[in-house]
Formats: sequence, structure tokens, C-alpha cells
Amino acid sequence: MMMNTIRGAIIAAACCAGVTQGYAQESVNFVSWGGSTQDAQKEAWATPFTGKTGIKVIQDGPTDYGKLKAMVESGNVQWDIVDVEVDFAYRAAKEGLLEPLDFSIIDKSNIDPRFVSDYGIGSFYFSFVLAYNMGKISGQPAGWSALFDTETFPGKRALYKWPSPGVIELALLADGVSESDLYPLDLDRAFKKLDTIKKDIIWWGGGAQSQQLLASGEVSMGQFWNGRMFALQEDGIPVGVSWEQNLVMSDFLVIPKGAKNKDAAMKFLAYSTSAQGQADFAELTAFSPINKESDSMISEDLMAFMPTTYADDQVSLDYKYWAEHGPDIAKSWNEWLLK
Amino acid sequence: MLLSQGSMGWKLKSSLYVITGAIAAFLALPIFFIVALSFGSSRWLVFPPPKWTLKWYEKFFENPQWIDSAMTSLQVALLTSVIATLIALPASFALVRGKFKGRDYLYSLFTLPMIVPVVIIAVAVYGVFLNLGLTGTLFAFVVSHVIVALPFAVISIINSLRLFDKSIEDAAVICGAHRLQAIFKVTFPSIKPGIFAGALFAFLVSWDEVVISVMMASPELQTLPVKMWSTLRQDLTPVIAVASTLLIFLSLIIMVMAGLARRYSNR
Amino acid sequence: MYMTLSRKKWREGTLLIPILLFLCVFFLIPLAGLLLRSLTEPSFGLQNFEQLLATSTYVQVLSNTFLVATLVTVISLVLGFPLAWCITLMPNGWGRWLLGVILLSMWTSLLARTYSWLVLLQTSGVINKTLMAIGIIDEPITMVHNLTGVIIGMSYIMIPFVVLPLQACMSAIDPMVLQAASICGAPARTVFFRIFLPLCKPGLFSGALMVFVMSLGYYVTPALLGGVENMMLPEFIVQQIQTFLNWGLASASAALLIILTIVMFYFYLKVQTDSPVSTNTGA
Repeated sequence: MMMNTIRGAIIAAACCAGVTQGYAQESVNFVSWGGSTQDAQKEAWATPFTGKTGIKVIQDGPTDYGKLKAMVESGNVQWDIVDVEVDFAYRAAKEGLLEPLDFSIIDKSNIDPRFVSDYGIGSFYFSFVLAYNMGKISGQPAGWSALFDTETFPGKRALYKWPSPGVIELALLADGVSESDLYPLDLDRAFKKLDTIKKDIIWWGGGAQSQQLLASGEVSMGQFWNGRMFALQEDGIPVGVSWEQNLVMSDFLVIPKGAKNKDAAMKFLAYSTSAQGQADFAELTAFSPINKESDSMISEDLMAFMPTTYADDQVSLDYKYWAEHGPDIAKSWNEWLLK
Repeated sequence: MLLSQGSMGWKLKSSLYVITGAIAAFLALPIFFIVALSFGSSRWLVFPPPKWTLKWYEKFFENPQWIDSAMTSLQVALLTSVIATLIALPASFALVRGKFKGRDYLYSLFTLPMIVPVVIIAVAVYGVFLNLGLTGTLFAFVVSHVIVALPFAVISIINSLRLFDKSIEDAAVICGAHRLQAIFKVTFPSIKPGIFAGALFAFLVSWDEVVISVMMASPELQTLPVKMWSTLRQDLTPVIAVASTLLIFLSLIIMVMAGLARRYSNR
Repeated sequence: MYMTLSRKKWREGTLLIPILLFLCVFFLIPLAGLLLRSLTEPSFGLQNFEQLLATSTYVQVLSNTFLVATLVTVISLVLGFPLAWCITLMPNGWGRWLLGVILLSMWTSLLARTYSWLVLLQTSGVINKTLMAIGIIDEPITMVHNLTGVIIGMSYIMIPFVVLPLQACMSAIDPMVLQAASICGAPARTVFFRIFLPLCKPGLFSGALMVFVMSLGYYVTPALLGGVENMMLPEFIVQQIQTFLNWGLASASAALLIILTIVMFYFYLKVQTDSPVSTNTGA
């Protein structure tokens, strides 16, 4: 009798093991930008997700919009979930490159409405902040106008090099345009303002480069992602951050049209945007959660480094405007840059 | 007098030596520097570093991706080298020995992949391979590398074949050898250095290829330059310096071996 | 040897099959496919080429590309010449070491070398610190993320491609020719400019062409060491594809770059009378 129960339990356990193993065959390809961000995404989302569902998450990257488009066009889509910039998410949706999300699987009731659309849902949100190397600058610069004040705060400036939301807006804000009048963007005015420091600008293309520029003193201040500055401060580098007029940007998670593991991808998105997933990710990176439930789960020490805390100083960028006018802005941008 | 040391004026000679020394230092500088950098403790590439450390070496060997990608690179480069040489060898014979018209044009065609910017080749091949579902396979890596390695193999083999006196081979045939026998027994051994150099060049081209490889890579299959490129772009950690240092030592070993092989074969 | 003409031709044809097949399937067809996109995307016509030539961006990128390629070629020639000369002068002792340094630098991973320059050249880098310590400069100079960085990094990579052909050419020169000139009373300067340099011309020429053509299509070094305002054509093409998803415009600029390169090569072949494949014409 006793033996039978034990045997039954063993058989049941074996069956369960067999079942989970069966699930383990299922997998999704997760694509992000690499580096510490993707490491955090792996730790906060992929590992617990695999533990919970048995679906294996294969990490790929870095995100490459050209590759994404080529895959969709060829019909051979190897990526299931892609971390993209928010303006690209809107643009790609318009070009028909994305699968609509299934909100019966993904719960969007607690998601900040700024960070969800029919074709994409926030990965995290962050701010462009003004940060400076305290070894190179005396005083406390605040607000974007300090960036253009090379007399008081000498040294080179680091700005984000892609024609995407951020640089144009901060130039206009520094030039005295009020937040409510930002859009439609007055490009000529922005370029004119940028012209005043053009020779002092060093353009950065990725997070690691931006950190290296500021940490080594190559630049004295600039426009940076808040999470990357947090990492520098953790490392003991004397970096000051001004949250005044911090510009809110976000990354979206999208599913390319024709993705092979669409259902598993939806389940992954449901987990990554859950309160727990978002809170875990925030703890690792100091990027803010897009799930409103997560805020209470984050330690107080960390909150000091998070955009959420500086909500009053936030300037929200108009991603839809950028999705619409991005290519035209890029054209004038390139023309100005190479002049 | 400008080509023998003895008869050169000392002024000219010493200034030439000083200039050359400076240029040689310029060439050696980054190589020595990166070795030093790999032992520095600073995460943000401050030099000279606050401390010396081996921690980046630990990180390198802890991460299986580095070793895996190095093995993939080796595999791809060896296959590329063999295939490029096997394709280039008969073609070189046809071009040098043949008397047909348009040989110069064919030569230009074979060296075209060297002239077309590699970015363009990468994008073009990527588009096709993606459609065929071949990206991320060993096949894709090898084929795309053979394209760019081929010109180096062709040029090197053709150059040595041109210098080889065909009448020696003909003599072997007259003495009763079959033509193929003569080629294998007489011609190949004497153009061996050219074939070897071609294969080596093909290997190096593949081993160091970045742009095409980035396109062909998948998470499961990437070569060392792909891993380095993405690390450079995303992390910028001194682990790259470790990888570079190990690569430099590998190059040194290959160079010494190639030198020894040459000395041995000359004997 | 006693084969009939037709059989011999047939044999040469077979020898060429593998390479022709390979290049057609994996190189020419994909390339043609890409270039065709410049005419078909987003719709059939020449609009991509019109758009390219209409904006100042493309013209600027093109002139950047040629500027960099020219500067790099000139610098590599100037720096490569004394190196090749020294190696020829001392084929055994120090010359062998020089050759070793060149080969080592050539065989070291391209990314490793570029990365090293990135750190060496930065404002807080070793070079700036040294220059300031000796007192040559007071303020650090910006040498990376701009044209200077690209030129230094690329010349560094290209020097071996000048030295190797140049050295081969120099070692083929008969020293007696130069000896004869000086015995006849020509001063060293005259011998150098009137005899030595002209004799080196084939080597200089092929080295320069190689470097120039390679520089036109270079991507990695400018992407890592350059600034945005010095964008070159390869980076422009990648940007069009990766950021703007504009394959049509990218293909059109690729087509123009290929045409420019091939035209240059054609002129090279015209100038260089020696056939590259015929036998017994010397190295």
C-alpha cells in the first residue's frame, strides 16, 4: 500500500518532469541592445519566465532596425521579441512591420498609458538628464540652458547622435520655448541654438560610449540616459545629475510581423510588463517601470535615482510626432550636421 | 648608393634611420599599449591605471561566449582558407596557362570582391541569405568569407605561377610523365609558397572579418570579431583588451611558425 | 602538350567553372539584386538618385569620403616609403625586425587596433598626457571622434599595404643603376628624385591605388574613431538601412560608390600596361 503510493508519486513526478521537458522545447528569441541593459532583462525577465513556463528564452542582438525590416520582408523572421526605441515602434507599426499585441494575454490595466500602443508595450522608461563630471565643472549646472553656457561651465558636451527625440527638444527648451509650445518642432530655431556649441559637441552612439566619455573627462557634461549615470555613480565616479527638465523616453517591446513563436512571445510580454518583472528590472538598472504597481515594490534608496521620483520636472516627448515626421527631421538633421 | 648602406652619406643615413624608427614605434605603439591596457584595473580605460590586475582575464575565461566564438572563428577561417584555395587554384592555372581572349577581364572579375566596398557585399549577401533562411549558419559564414578571401588567394597563386618556368613541367612530360602527374609532382611543389601564402591570406581575411560577420551572426553562432564588435559598441569593457592581447599572441605564434616553416622548406 | 586546340580550351573552361559558378551565385547575383533595389524602391524610377543628388548631405558625404581617402593615401605613402627603403637597405638585421613589426600590426585584429587608438587618442589619453608633460601643448587636443582620429586610425591600418608592394619593387631595383648615376657625378638629391623615385613608381602606384580604393569603402574605423560630421559613404549606407529602413536610397548610394571605384580601377588598368596574368614578364 505504502509502496504503491510511493510508486504512484514517482510515476507522477516523472510524468510532470516529462511534461515540463516537453515545454522546454518551446523557445522565444529575445532581442535587445546588449550590454548591461540586456543582462538585466535576462535576469529580471527571461530567467524567471523560463522557470515559470518552461519556455526557453534565447538572447540575441543587438537590435538592428534594418535587419528587422529585412526579416519581415523576406518572411523568414528569426526574432520574436525586439526591444526598440519608442518612436521606431510607432513608425514600424505604420509600415506594417509589427504584430498587433494580444491584450487578452497581456494585462495593460496598470500600464502607464504613455507607454502602450496597439503594436508595442513599454520595456522600461528613462530620462535624458543633464549630467556632469564634478572633477571638470565647479558649481551645479541645472536645466538644459547650462549645456549651452560654455563660459560658466567649460568643456566638451556629449549629445546623443541619432536624429531621434531628445536633442532638438532640449535645444528648444534651452532657447526658452515652453514645454507646451514644443510641438510642432521649430527645427531652424533648434539648429541655430545648437550651432552655438556645435564645435564643442561630441556625439555618442551608445550607452557605453557615453559613460566612457563622461567618466574619462573627455566631456565635462552632456545629455545622458539616467540609468547609465546611475551605474557610473555606483562605480564611484564623481558624476552629478540635474533632473530639471528631464526628457522622458522609453523603449518598447514589439513582435515583428510573422514571428515564429508569437504566442510564447505574448506570454513573455505579459511577464516582462508585470509588476514584478518591471520592479526587478528597475532594481537592476535604475530605469523606471512602466507598470504603476511596481513603484511600491522598489527600494527607497534606488528611488532617488529614478525618473519616477522627478515626475514634476518631466518633459514628455511626443513620440507619435516623431514617428510621423522622423524621416523628414532626419533629412534636415543630416544636412545641418554635415554642413 | 641609395640602396647600399655602405655608400650612403651618414647624414642621409642617420635621418632615414631616425624617421623609420619613429614610424616603426607608431606601428608598434597600439599593440604594446593594448597589452598593457588588459592588465589595468580601470573599468573606464583610464591610463595609467590605478592598479594592475588579472580580473579581466578571469572575466574573459569565465564567459563561454568568448571561447565559443573563438572556436567558431577558427572553424570558419580554416574552411574559408581551404575552399578559397581549392577554387582559386584551377582558375589561376586557366588564367596563366590559357591563351584565350578576355583573360584580363576575368582577372578583374575575380578580384572584384576586393574592390567592391565590403559594406555593400555584406548587405547584398545578407538580403539573399535571409530569404533562404541561411543566416546564422556555418555555411553562410564560410560562403560569405570565401567571397572576400578569394581575390587574395587568386592574386597570390597567379603571381607565383607566372614566375614558374613552364618548360620544367614540359620537360617532365617529355620524359614520359602524364601532364597531371607533372603538375602534381613538379609544378605544385615549386609554387607551394604562393599557394601557402594565398591560403594564409584567406585565413587572415576570414579571421578578421567584421562587417559581413555581424550580418551573418546569430546568438548561437558568432565569430570572435562579432563578439568584439558588439562588446565595443555596448560595454566597452577591458575584456576586449584581453581578447586583443590573446589574439596578438596568437598572431606572434603563427608568424614564428610560418617563419620556421619557410626556413625548413628552404633547406 | 599535343592536345588539339579545342580540347585545350575545353579543359581551361572546366578549370574556370568552380570560380565562375561561385562568384555568380554568391556574389554577382546578390549584388545585382541589391543595385536593382535602387531603381525599384519604393517605386520604379530614378527617384532615389534624384533625391541623393538633390540634398547637400550626399554631396558632403561623398566629399568627406574622398577627402579621407586622399589624405590617408598620401600619409600612408609618405610614412611607408622610408620603412620600405630601410627594409630594402637592411634585408637581414634590423630590416627583418621592421618587417616583423609591420606584419604583426597587419595580423593583429583590426578591432583590437582601432580600440587601442580610441584609448590612446582620447583627451585624457596617454598621448595627450605625454605631450602635455613634455610641454608641447598646454591644453589637451581632441584627436578622436573627429577627422584627426579617422586619419590616424586609417593610415595606421593602411601603411602595411603600401610598404609590402613598395618593398618588393625596391628590392627589384639594381643598385648598380644608382651607383652608375652617382659615379657620373650626380648628387644624392638628383639620384633620388631623377632615378630612385621613378624606379619605385610601380610600387608606389599599386600601393596607393590599393589604399585609396580600400579607404573609399572602409566602415569599421570611421564608425569607431570618427565624429558624426565626418560621415563617410559606407556609414551613410549603413545608416540608411539600419536607422531609416531606406533600402532604395542605400542601394543608390552603393551603386554610385561602386561605379566610382570601378572607374578608378579601369584607369589604373589602362595606365598599367603590364598584363596581370601573362607569364614571364617579371614580378
